[in-house]
Amino acid sequence: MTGIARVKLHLPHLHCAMGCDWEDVWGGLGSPTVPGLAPWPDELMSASAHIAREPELSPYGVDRKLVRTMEKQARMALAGAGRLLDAWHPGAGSVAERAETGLFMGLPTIDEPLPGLAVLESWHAYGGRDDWNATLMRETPPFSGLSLLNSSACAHIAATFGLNGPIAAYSPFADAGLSALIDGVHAVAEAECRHAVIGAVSTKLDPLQPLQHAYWGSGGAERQRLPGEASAFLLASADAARNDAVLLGYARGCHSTHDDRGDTVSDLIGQTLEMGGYARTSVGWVLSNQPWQAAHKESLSRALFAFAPLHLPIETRFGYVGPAAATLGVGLVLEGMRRKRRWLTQGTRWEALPMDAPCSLLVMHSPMGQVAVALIGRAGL
Amino acid sequence: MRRGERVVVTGLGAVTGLGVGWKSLWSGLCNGHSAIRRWQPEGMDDFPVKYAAPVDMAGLAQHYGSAAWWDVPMERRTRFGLAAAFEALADAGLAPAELPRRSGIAMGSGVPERDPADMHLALGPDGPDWRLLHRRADQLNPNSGLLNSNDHLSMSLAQSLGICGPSLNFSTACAGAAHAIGHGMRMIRRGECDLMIVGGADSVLNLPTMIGLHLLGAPSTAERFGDRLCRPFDRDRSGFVAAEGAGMLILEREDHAHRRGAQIYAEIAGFGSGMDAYRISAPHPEGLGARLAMQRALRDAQLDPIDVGHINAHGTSTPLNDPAETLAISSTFAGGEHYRQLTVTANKSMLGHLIAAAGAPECIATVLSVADGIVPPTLNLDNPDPACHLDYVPGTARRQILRAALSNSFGFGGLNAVIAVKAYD
Repeated sequence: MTGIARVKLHLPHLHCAMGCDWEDVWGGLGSPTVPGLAPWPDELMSASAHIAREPELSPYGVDRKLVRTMEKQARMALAGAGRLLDAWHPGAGSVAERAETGLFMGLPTIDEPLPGLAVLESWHAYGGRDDWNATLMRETPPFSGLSLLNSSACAHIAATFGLNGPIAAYSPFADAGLSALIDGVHAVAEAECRHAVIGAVSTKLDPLQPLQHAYWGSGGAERQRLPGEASAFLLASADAARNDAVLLGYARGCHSTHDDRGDTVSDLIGQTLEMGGYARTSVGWVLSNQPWQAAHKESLSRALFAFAPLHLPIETRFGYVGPAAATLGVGLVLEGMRRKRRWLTQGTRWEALPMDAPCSLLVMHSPMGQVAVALIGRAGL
Repeated sequence: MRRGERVVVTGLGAVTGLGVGWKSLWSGLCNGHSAIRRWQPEGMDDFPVKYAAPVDMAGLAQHYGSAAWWDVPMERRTRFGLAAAFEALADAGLAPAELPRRSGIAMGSGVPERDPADMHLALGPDGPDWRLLHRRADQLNPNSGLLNSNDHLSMSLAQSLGICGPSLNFSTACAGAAHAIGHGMRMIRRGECDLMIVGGADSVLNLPTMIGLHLLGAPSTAERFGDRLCRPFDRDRSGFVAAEGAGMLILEREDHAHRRGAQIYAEIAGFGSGMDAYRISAPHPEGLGARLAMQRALRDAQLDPIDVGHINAHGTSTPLNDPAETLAISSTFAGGEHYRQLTVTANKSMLGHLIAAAGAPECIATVLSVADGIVPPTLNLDNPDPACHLDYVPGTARRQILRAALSNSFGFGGLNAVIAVKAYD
């Protein structure tokens, strides 16, 4: 698997509540913005959420009618990918290269009440006398079949930016975002394409989310959990030069019971480091999601034994962003490598310290039990 | 390109409208039986879409009603998927305890199944209110996709089997299962796993999803042809016929299969994908993404186009897909006009369209075509569309010795995936 270490990871771009520019976001990590008001009654979950501003899609020539068929997560994905592709190849000269460019994405499920509350309101206003199925047929938006299909986000990106390369999309949690990274890098390493756009997006904020979080069973922790909206993208390209950021190793697995959670995470971290040829002490920065669950913290501590590298719980700043946690994490690592800095938490205080170790480790958990781990460092060291 | 281990198919499982088990699937396809019948969503008798290919739940219960998982709440697709996966494992001669430690799962799934009655829980005397829905959460339909995330099948399978390897769920619309099979093959080839349970399961035969599909104009509303409504490549085709079900394959590293003396059906030799980059709701008219996916699958499998004798087509019976796929095949196999030598079949003429799962039973059929030397027919091809000019094996199955074959799956929005299957010798 050494081929993956020849694939350069670069051009991270994001769209999140903290902004769309890494300068703002990196600087803002120390003094985060105040979250907005979540679109659901405050008794259900946290009343706050990290709400991303509505993406501006007009620069990409997307028809307004088409935009109306897209859920916010598809719009955030399109904006994130667009910003990356603009930075990579501004102007028309990029078309030929894009034709051989792949797309690998982590996608959430689309949560949308069926029927919507407005339909229920009109049904109620008529005293519930209308035939329910007929109401549903009459009131369902004509493009709902398109809007509610999560992979439409990929199709919009491909159609808007002219990508004809290989494609894969994974869902629905943070491990899916890391799978997009792993397989996208492999696609480049195995010469399936010279470049791969790799990205992930969170679900849009919706009042169904608190129900689902409660069902996934975080033992009441959902009340402390701030949901967020974000998309984050990067590019994987062939022929990494010395010191370019690369994926050094990875491992994927799942714990089929709660009891084996720590063993699974420990095994996967061990496999990842072995694949990359690094020891635990080479890891200078660990970024993970779902840090508010005691079981996750415990499993991470067990996996890293007494060695405790600086740990960044991504979602304490960005909110619960599902698959996007993975590519946001990769973006933070790439930015950190560029700046030679890393953020860490000391209780509630955040501090940026020098990045003095060769590797960073991403550990992505899903509420259903999947775990994906990735090791990122510099090529040729 | 780095070449690793060969990946072979050692077990098959299926639940479709043709019955429970891969033998029902294969026998039905080879004998030209159709699973398509008159259908209406539960509680309706005037839904515009009149035909579908549902699974016989009573038949499934006869086979699996005593299984420990049968009474656990889950979506229909998860139930189909578990049944097919357990059949595939048994077919491979594997008990759960015998699975290698480095086993993984890759599944394709689509839009979650929704029960519109769930939202009624939000209604109170003063109208709808989110608080009411949340307070009544314990009354939500536990079989609904509102509570079951779309990796529910892959994780239910992992939990049932005690698998701690990768558990991936692919979401590429109608190409989901093909992606799962292709990436599962690659995970073995790259050395990440020794064995993968791959495939897909889906059910769109619920009112919210069918309304969404109907409003897009995707399924046929015609009644003229009765249960012969699905007519891939025929000039009178008018849309797909929705179906439900699952297909599962056990993929193994060749030496692992040999060590345990497993039967080997065929080799999954390559996988390719490609995007149309055209329109969100229509395929590229010349099948650009489909052609690129076929070319990439051939390259990945180290096959020349002339090695391929047969294509299990996506063949949806929609006005736009079938001529575009024909053009894609013609251009991929243009050298020496090899496309004239190919047999091309459309299983959907009998199975209907299993949406995200479609690629799984169709890949099983492709594997069995290569293994048994039989190509199932395309039914209802009474008047070929002049734009569809290939040999679609109309009406009756045909014997054909095959060295290699392709299985095409093209997802909504132009997300295409192709699996290359080689005879195992």
